[in-house]
Amino acid sequence: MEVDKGKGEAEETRKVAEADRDTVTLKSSDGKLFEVSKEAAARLSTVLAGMIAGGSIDDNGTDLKQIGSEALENVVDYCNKHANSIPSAALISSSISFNTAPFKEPEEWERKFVDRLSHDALFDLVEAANFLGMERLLDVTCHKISEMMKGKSPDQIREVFNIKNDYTKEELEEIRQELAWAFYDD
Amino acid sequence: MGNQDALPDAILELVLLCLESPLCLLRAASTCKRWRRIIASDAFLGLHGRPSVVAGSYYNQGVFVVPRFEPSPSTATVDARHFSLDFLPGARHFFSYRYWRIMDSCGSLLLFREDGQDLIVCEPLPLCLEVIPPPKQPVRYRNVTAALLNGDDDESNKGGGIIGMSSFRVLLCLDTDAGRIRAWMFSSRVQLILARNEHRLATHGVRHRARCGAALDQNAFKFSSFVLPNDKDWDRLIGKVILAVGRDGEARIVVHGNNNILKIFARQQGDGRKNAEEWALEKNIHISAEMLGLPPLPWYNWACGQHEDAGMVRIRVPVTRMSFCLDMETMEMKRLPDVDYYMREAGYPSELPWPPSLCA
Repeated sequence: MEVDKGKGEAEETRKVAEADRDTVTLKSSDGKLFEVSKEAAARLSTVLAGMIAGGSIDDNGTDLKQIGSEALENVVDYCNKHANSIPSAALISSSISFNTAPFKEPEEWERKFVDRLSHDALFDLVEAANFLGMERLLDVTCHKISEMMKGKSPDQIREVFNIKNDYTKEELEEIRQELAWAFYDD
Repeated sequence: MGNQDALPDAILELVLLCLESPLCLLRAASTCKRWRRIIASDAFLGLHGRPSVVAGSYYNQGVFVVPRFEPSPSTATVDARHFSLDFLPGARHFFSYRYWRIMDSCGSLLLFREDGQDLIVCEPLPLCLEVIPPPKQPVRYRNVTAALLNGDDDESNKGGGIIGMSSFRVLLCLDTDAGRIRAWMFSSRVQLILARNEHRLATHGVRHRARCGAALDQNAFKFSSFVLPNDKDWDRLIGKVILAVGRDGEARIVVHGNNNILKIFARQQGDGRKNAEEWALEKNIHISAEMLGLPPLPWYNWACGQHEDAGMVRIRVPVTRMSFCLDMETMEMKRLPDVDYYMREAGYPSELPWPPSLCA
């Protein structure tokens, strides 16, 4: 009995050690630390996969100076949710065909994930996804941003995206006349 | 961050690529110069590819009346008045005694036959029009089939600032006195590409005389002639012939005969002897009034026509607004929503123009 118990404990500690090695620690530009599963990070981000393979992961927190803590938190959150919500078989096939397959509609949870983000958080996240080479997250965030343009007039799009209209009056009139059909009659 | 317009070009481009509709792209391009520069670039348009956004359909309405436009409910974002055909020559004059019959549509272009012998190609949104004069050799216009086809495939053009009017071909088929079919091909002066329309398989150019005919596969752009097999009912068949697409994606020839018998022919595999293809009878369907849930009307002939969905044929009850959809495989008959008189024939779908006419 005693011996068996000892064996069990040894297994326990080995498991903990394995779990330790299963995560990577990421450090945001403002110095906050986040843990994310190594497997998910490597699968979802080409940049992190490269760093893990190249051994440039720092146990005390890998510096990601371009990414703020809020965006990084969302990235980590996305990785965890992704790992939990998709059956692995589907995941493997989807990651293989990423480069060639057309964009697949966001899953329900992905939609919810981006829907709850504020404007600024969404725009920061799309840049973080781009920086980390996270193709799927980039697709989902870009899709969300594009939906913010649909069915809107140029004026409304300018308002939503905080765009400064740099057309002259004459240029605008020219566009309106040439493409009269494309504009709402307002 | 605050300044959201500060998305890098590369990301903004990805976002704009998600916009499928040319309409959304045009509106986005009119917000500022930077966005327009990205959208108008050849690289962007090449990556985007030609979207197929059906704005609505045109319906022929008979003599002296210009075809009518009916916006499609899903994309009714463009005011229907922009699709008006009033710009056609003489269309505004009530007593012009000219009529225009749509023969075909492809992408954002329409092909008309004017009652003179001219064929007219037009694009309603930018109001473009081109008249195609009749063939030099005088012909009698009998049993006319005309189809609008993509321009020649030319890889060098990926749609930078070129509108569809600069790239099309028109096929004209006629029966001649000698019992032959003659075909002409007209092409726009500049041969450029219109993206292929994958969903239109062999829906044009069925000619028939006795049991012989010719069909054109639009995707492969190949003519084939066919001979339908001898049939004891053949003499009694009236010659309404339509080309349908089966569930298997293969073409079917449907001959609508007297007594409301539909004969469905399928192409025989292999054996490409000579030029004529062999077609074999696949199925005989007698469409009784009972099948349609109607009281017996022995003297009636239903009108049959093409249906957009594979494996289906449209059956219309003349005079009424009733029409049905027949599944050629299961012979199931489904009643379609009643349509207004002017919509009794199949409509001609019209897409939004592409590529957007923008200068970088």
